[in-house]
Amino acid sequence: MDIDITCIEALEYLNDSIDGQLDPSLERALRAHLSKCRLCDAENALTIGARASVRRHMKRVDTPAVLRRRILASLAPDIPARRAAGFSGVFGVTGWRVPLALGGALAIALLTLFVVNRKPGHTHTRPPDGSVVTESFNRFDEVIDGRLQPDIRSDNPLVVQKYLEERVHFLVRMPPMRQFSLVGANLNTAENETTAQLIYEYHGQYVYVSQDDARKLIHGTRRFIPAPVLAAINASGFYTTTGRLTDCTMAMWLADSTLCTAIADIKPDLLLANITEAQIP
Amino acid sequence: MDHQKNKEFEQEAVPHMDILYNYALRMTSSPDDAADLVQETYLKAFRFWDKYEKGTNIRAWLFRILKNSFINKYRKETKEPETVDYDDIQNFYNSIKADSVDPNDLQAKIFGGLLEDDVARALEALPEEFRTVVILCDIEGLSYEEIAEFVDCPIGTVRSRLHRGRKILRDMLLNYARRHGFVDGPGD
Repeated sequence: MDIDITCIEALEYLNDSIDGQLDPSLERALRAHLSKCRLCDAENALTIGARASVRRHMKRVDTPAVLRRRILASLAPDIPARRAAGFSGVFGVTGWRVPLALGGALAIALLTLFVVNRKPGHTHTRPPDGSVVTESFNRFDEVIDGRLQPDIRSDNPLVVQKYLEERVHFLVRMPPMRQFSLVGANLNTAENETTAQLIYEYHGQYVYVSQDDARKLIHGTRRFIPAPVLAAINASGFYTTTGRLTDCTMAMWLADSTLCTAIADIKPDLLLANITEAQIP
Repeated sequence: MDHQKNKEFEQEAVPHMDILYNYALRMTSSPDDAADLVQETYLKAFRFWDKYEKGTNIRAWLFRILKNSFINKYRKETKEPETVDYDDIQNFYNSIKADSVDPNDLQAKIFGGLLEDDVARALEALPEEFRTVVILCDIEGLSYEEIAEFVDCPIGTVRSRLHRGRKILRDMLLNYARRHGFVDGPGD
């Protein structure tokens, strides 16, 4: 026996019908009602039309490959972890993948490496002038002469990122850095702004990556991004400088609202390739 | 142990990145903000992986993490929905009734000429709770049951939010269609 429904009931059932969720007997009753009620039929057509319009224009997209790679890289620290085992030993870490039995010998061996590679004469130091470029070079000097030590020592990017993000108010970036081994990180607060500092290692050389909240620096006066640097970033995505000392490279870039600065005594193409995941030489 | 956790996480959580990214993109209307949200979601999910109950709906668990992050970051910045003139809409319905327009032609006539921007703008203007269920149902094609699990509320609530959301969306699209001159009706 057919069920007779009112307009109010019909309007209530329309969406369930569109989504295939309506009981078959009610579906039949709705169809019968629509066939004789122009207004409800129009309502049905409009609802279906609007939904179709949303589906037509709001197509699903794939996750961008770069984002997928970034997330996967941060979840799979196997390769850097193996490379990083040594330097984490230098900093006195147990190292999450370092076999305990080898820890002592490895630490001694790498301590020698660490001492050999210290470069106390390597300095770019200038008077603090608020420029993040000068600041970064100064801090890099502190890293390589051993004055800037990690607050957290871990080769696991997720652990390090978590540690930093709990202490700063911007998104901390973990560049791919496939050839560099994460050693650890620390924080530096100046002028009420905190800089997150990552330290990596590459064949006995340090790679220093600092990160700041760019929103504060772009309009900053006491700490600031110099205008030519900002112009270079806007124009090409990166500000790079080399030649202050042989093989010393700085690369500065913006990742949304995070200003990232990487410095290392390595060739620019190697540093940029690791930062950007370009083809690594 | 860590290796096992990584492997498990990659196998179970990573395959659902697309649904998270699409939802984030529709909610923020910005690829960069969506990328940040998804990355933050995976970071949090990995951190709290031991809290995930194995065998339960992993997509819903990830989605709730993302939605909470979205709310924390963006809710205060959400724009007020565009005003819809309901008197005009009512007049439009009356004109359908009076002019005996064939309902079968309505879809093509009214919505066929709308631009992607119109639809994006209308969707963006929906209140967040309505927008979420409309995205999950009409774009992602999820069932009412799964949406209820995603947004952690009864199916009846999903149903009413969906109906209300679709109605607001449809009325806004009708408004745009009238502004474009695709349908007759009282002017703005």
